[in-house]
Amino acid sequence: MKAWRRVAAVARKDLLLEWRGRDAVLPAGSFGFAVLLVLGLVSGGGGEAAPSALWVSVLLAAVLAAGRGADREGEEGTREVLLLYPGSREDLFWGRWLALCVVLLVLAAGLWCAQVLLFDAPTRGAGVLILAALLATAGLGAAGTLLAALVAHVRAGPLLMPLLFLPATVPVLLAGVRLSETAASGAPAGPWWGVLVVFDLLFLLVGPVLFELVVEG
Amino acid sequence: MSPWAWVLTAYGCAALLVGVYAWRLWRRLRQVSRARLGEGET
Amino acid sequence: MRAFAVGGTAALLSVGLFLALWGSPPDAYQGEYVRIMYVHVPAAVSAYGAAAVAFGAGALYLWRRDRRWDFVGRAGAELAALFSGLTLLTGMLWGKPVWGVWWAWDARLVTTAVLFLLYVGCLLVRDLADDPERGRRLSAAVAVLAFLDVPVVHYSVVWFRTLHQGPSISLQGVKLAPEFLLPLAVNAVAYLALLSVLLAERARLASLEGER
Repeated sequence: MKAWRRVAAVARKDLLLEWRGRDAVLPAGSFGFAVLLVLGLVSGGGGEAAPSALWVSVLLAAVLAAGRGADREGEEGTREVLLLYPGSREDLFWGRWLALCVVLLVLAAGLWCAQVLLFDAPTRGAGVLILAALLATAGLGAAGTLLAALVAHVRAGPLLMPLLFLPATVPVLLAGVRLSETAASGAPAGPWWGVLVVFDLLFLLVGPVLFELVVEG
Repeated sequence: MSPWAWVLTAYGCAALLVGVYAWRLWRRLRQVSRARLGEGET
Repeated sequence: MRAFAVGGTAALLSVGLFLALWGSPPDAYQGEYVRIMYVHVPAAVSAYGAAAVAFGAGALYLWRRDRRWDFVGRAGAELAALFSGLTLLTGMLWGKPVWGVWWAWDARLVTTAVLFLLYVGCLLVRDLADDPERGRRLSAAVAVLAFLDVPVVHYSVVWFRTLHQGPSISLQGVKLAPEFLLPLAVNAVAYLALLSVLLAERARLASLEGER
């Protein structure tokens, strides 16, 4: 089988299971909504707090969503089967990454809508926001796929996931917040596109290599 | 607090942290090498 | 050889301590507080040195699968956590009297905190993995990832603070005159020697324990 077909098969499997169960999007999305609600409550719900609240909720929801795919395979014992298939483990990474990116985009879109409603946030600059969301999703997806595989065989793995994920993805959080502000105000974006691109490059280059080393055996 | 108290607190913290680490390391090293000596004798 | 290294390090540390507490004059602006720099900066240098060692050893372990690299990597990760923790602690003890706050959202402080958290995660992953061989692999992967990620974190925090609110209080404001530079250099060398000794001994302990 060609590499891209293996990638597509893994992504399709993850997305199909997600579509049938919705066991990542619904819990992670509801959790993200709860985070938004709590942050809005303590910050007074002003528009200037909206970008921070949005990106914190996206990041925290991403922690849950990223762990879900690996958990599902753990529960059903399909992880070992998946590893037995011929071909490069890298394809497994890209398949998972693709599926996680789709889930993250859905989550980000939903949380963005919730943030507009809750914080009365401006809806200007859709182009900037969509591009930022795509770039952020690519990086978060790679980090999430790698770290979820990493903690899959660790006791208290779900507890270690945020410990590793949140500090590592600080650049995405900061870039996302600033780019959201940029989208609303029309100010120049400064170096933030560069930060997102460098973060993406780092995790998309290192992610698959480390993933292969992490999942073996 | 006087300036020297802050300075000495900082140095004390450093000495304590590194000292405890080094001491525990030294103790464990001694234990392990003792255990290995013991294995050699029996 | 070992006794020589330990003795030399102890001597260097004593000279460094003497220079820091007696040999160097108080700073014109900061007064005696400047002496905290002689423990804070060398600790930070050692933390990044240890992180670099953990990175190199982790990468080599993942490549070669030689247990000896893992012993070094484990020592590096532990010492990176120890020295970054020490950097944070002394940074706070310096910041409170000089800046008036325990914590400033300075890029270097935040980066060091991120470094600390990632290496704590690295150690936890190793200890909590379901088998030791996997733990070695996973912690090596985290050490590699953390080291590559930290520069990106650093620059993003620099820009996040500076481009928005104007430059925050920064340690860079202190211009270093020679009478401060010498004690700092001696202390940095002494701490790096201490780091090397601790690295070597920790790796030796790991190898002794690993053989059983």
